[in-house]
Amino acid sequence: MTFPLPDELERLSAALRREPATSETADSIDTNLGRFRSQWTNLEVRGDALALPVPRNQGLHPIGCELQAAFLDFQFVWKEEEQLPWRAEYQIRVEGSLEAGNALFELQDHWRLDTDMYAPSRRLPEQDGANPSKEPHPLFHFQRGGHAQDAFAATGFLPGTPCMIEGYWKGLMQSPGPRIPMLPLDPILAIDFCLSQSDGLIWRRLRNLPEYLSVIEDAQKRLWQPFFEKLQEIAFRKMWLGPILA
Amino acid sequence: MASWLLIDDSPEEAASYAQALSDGDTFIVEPLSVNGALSAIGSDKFSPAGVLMDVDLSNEIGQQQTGPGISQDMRVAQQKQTLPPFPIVRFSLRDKVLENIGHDSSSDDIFDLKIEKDGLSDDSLRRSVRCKLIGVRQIYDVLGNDGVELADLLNLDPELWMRWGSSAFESDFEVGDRVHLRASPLIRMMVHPGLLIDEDILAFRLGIDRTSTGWSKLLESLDEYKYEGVAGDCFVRWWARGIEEWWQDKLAADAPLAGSNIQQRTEMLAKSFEGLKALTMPKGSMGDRPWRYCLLTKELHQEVIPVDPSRAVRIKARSPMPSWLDPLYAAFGIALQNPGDRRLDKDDLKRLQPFARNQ
Repeated sequence: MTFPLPDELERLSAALRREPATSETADSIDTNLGRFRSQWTNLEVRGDALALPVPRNQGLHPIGCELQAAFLDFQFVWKEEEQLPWRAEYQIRVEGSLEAGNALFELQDHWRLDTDMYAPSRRLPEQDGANPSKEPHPLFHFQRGGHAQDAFAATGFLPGTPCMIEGYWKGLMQSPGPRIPMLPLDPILAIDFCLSQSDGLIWRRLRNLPEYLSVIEDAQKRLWQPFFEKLQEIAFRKMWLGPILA
Repeated sequence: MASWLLIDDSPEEAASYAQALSDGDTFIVEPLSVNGALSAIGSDKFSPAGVLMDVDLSNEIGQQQTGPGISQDMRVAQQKQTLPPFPIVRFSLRDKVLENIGHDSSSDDIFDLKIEKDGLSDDSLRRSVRCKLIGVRQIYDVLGNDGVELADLLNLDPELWMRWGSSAFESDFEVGDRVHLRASPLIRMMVHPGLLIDEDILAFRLGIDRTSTGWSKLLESLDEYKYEGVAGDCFVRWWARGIEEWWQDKLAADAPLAGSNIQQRTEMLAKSFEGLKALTMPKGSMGDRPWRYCLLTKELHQEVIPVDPSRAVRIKARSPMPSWLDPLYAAFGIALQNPGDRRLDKDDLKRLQPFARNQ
């Protein structure tokens, strides 16, 4: 089953344009629409640095930082015979800065929504030449970090070594886990998810625009109804969630 | 008190409309010939409460003029401040508008309001038109004061404006450096649903029949979301996003108001209010999540009927609509009755075609 994803992204963009905070997201979609249409002839779309509203300034670390921009990169591949996305990767980058005395810190926050469907070698035994994960990777999962974060933190990063400052300081630490199971998302639902998590006020306004609501509703029906049905099968539940016993 | 002037090429017709619209000493409309208007505009004493401008002035003797043409000259003079600020309202028969303006949007921004002469024999319609004119004049009066701020005009707490208002509206308002330029977004906000909605649209969104015995009680409970700013007595409106907030925060509804159908809306409201009757979608208007109105029914029959956008046909606006105004729709059944209307969205007509036999 295929579906007119670029047309739906265009509908989404028209709805996002009603809300000033998401008009840049609409601009990003419109700018890339021609590319999305041509990519979708192969049932895939790739988005680079789609502008998102910055998250609401609440509970941010480090304290005193200023948010400047947020972006979404994605790669979505659909296979007609599958009812779920073959590849659905979403990488979110939030940028900010902190002025602290004579120092200026460039800040980034990275999180990603990942899928392993396209990489079955991760699920095969090691002796078959595969590279299985030691930790369970739910089929669609949320995870912090990623390659973009690794690249950002590779140089000039604090805390890190070598270190030019002295004394005793505290820092926030991050590990690759946990990988939290997620629902499958297409780019429309991913944008909706990002908006919901960054600013509930904006998201609630959008959800009271019937034009926005209907695009999201159609996408949820298309992707999630078959997914909920497949969850009845234990084999699928194991693939989606990982090491379940029942 | 200054009078409104009705500029028209037909003296008898002008006198008749002026008399019909006037209301004793409280609201006076005086007819004025085109030539009379041209010489008055050239003088430095032209300062009416407002101008009602006919579109087609071809019956006037002498050099031919048009309503939009004279109106544009007055706006230029207001920009140069050789004329004082006053509202200019297009006032014409619908047929004459179609004949002289049609799909041409170039005169849209000139006028504060567009009123059709058709149907003004109806007393309630005359009252409604009078009320709008008074409201528009009030807006001009307040904007004429120095240093007036948007928050004061709207009489809304800045925190609430952040939640219920629009930064795009604010910038459209702020960019105006003349009274008529600042009045324009304000008047559009009052007249067209978007940030503010009138009682008809409010009832559609709540899924309630306005004739219900419990309707007035429900309205009372929404008082804190009522528009209380300039011309609030003339334009009785509610903050659309305030109503949405009330639905989710005060009534603690699971789903957004726009995402609930009539039955879900009425069931939710019945927990707190009595005597409410569910809205019935009229024949020709499909769907069960009413949110907007049918423009065609309003234009053709001065009747406002509910529309569920997911089961309706988008209408291309003659001029681009700002993001703070709601898009235009036609009920599908009504759209089918008007196949020659080029504004109807072809994709929507195609999308809804399977439902055509039931209309």
